[in-house]
Amino acid sequence: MAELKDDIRRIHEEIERESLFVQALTAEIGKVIVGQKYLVERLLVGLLANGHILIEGVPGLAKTYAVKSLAGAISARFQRIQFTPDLLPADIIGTQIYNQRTGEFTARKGPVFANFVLADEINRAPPKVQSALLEAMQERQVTIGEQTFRLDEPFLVLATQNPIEQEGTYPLPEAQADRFLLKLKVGYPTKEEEKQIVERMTKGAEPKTEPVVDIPTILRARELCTKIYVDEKLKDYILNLVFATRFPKEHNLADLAPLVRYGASPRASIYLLSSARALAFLKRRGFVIPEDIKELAYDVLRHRIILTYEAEAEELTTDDIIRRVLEGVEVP
Amino acid sequence: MVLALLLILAQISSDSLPADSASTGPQLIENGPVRVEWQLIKKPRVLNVGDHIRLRLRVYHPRELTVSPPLPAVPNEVVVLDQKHHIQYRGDTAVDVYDLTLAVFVIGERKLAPFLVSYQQQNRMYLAASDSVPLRVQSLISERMQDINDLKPQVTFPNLLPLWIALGLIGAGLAGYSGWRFWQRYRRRQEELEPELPPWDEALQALSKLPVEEWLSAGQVKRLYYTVSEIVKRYLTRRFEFPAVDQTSTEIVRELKSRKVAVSERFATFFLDADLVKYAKYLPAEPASVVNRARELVELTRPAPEPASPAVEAIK
Repeated sequence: MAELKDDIRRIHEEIERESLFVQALTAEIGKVIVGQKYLVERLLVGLLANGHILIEGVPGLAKTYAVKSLAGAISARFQRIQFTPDLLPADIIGTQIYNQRTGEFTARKGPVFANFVLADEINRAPPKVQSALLEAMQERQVTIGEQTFRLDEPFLVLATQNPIEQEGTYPLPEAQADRFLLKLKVGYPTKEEEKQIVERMTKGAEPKTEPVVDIPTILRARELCTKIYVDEKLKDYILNLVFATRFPKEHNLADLAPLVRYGASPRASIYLLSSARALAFLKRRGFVIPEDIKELAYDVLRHRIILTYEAEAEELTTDDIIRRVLEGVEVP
Repeated sequence: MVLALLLILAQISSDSLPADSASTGPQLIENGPVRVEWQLIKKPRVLNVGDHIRLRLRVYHPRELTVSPPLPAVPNEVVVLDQKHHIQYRGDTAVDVYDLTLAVFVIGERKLAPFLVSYQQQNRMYLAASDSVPLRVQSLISERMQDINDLKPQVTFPNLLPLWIALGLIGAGLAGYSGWRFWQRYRRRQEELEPELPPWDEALQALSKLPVEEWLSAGQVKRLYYTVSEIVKRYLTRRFEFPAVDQTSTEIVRELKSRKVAVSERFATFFLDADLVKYAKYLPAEPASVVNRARELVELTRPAPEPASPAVEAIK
């Protein structure tokens, strides 16, 4: 083996230099969160790929805590909004307040004006409120009265939802769930991890993260992520995966055809590429490999595939479909 | 019959007449002061029993004379369903106009009995009648019909069973013959097909056929690596029976290690190097060597030839 081409080598060197903060950040979060490496890594993918994240898991898995710790480790503004059935759009985006002294209305910005917004239990608020947040997520701007305000960069919404206790909830419509870059499924910690958690949390003062990274570093890393090299064959591989969810028969996956009602949207292709670049950055590489794509395929595609009644009757999940797609599409 | 009618009318009108006049009875007068004319307003082209017809009756009489509404002379042959009345005056003459809706319940070519009106003059009752109304009323029952439910003649069905049996036998024969022909052709094709090469021979053959020099002189290093890597993946798929073509390098190496393949580390290095060329634009110093490395890997993982039997050894 001789050498990398100049452009890749340059990106590689830049990544080596710029990705040093990842270790510091992970170590800082590790002071607070035990285990949950997958969750923390995916949060960083979202941060670098400039995409929002939906986290699903039963209560008590440190979903909220992980997000809070990430925000704490970056010197950025953090806001937590507890979604409840009586929440109003103005409670999120802000409202106009009448100033008696000047006789004018002034805009009062809501909690969405932050770098990290934790929308806790997003499925507990009615669709009107969900739409207000999701619109801000998409447009990255908020209009209060006649004034439009740009949201600060980075702007990352981390929404959590609970897969149990579905009574009185408003599940996110497919079109709105599609706006999230990743949907993460958080599982239970291992026995050893839980032992550490118990010891750490019963010592007294709750551990907290200190800022170790600033926003300009994050923005530079984001910029660098867009330069990471992706071979044409890998782009084709991404498209093959996404198209296989839409037209399984054409990809020798005829058995999936009666199980999938709607395949993943073009947003899936875009997000799979951008998140694979972010993962390559985290692994300090200047290029993407198929492993990055396969690793992220579940998180990017699981909320973008709509199953048929037959699939639901068979108790199949979108993860089962993605597994079959990954097994059936040739890796270049 | 007309006499009977006159008696009935007399009976009806007797209630409204003074006692002395009732005893005498009404008298039908042809050229009296009252004249009754009829006119058909609406009649269906074919008039069946019960069909509605509209008839206009005009009763001309002096103004001072009171005239009763018209009544059919024979009540059973026609039913008055509706009656509208208005009066017109022409000098000293009054005209009572009656628009009647009638239904006729007798059939054939016939003249309906006249309509009668009664009036009183000098304490006596008189009758005036219209002309008869000629009508042709048809019955609803077809003329050819002998009864309400005519019996149809018995239908005889032909016995087609022998024909069906014959057709079935011919069809079965044809299907059997086609099946036999298909089976013959399939066996012939199977015999003609070359036996499938073992995976290592197939891989070595594919590697030897690669136009390495041509590709490298055209600067298609990446193409060479993609092709060689695919040949090795297909070899592994057939040789170790796992879907290597659908797996990443990491997954393939993990699979080989789990199967305790002796040279799995060499495979790992091979795939890592190939990945760098494929996905990271690496420029290898000796790109052509990848073919030899692939060949070595295939040779190293092909099964050892079976030892010859003692009989063969003896011959040797």
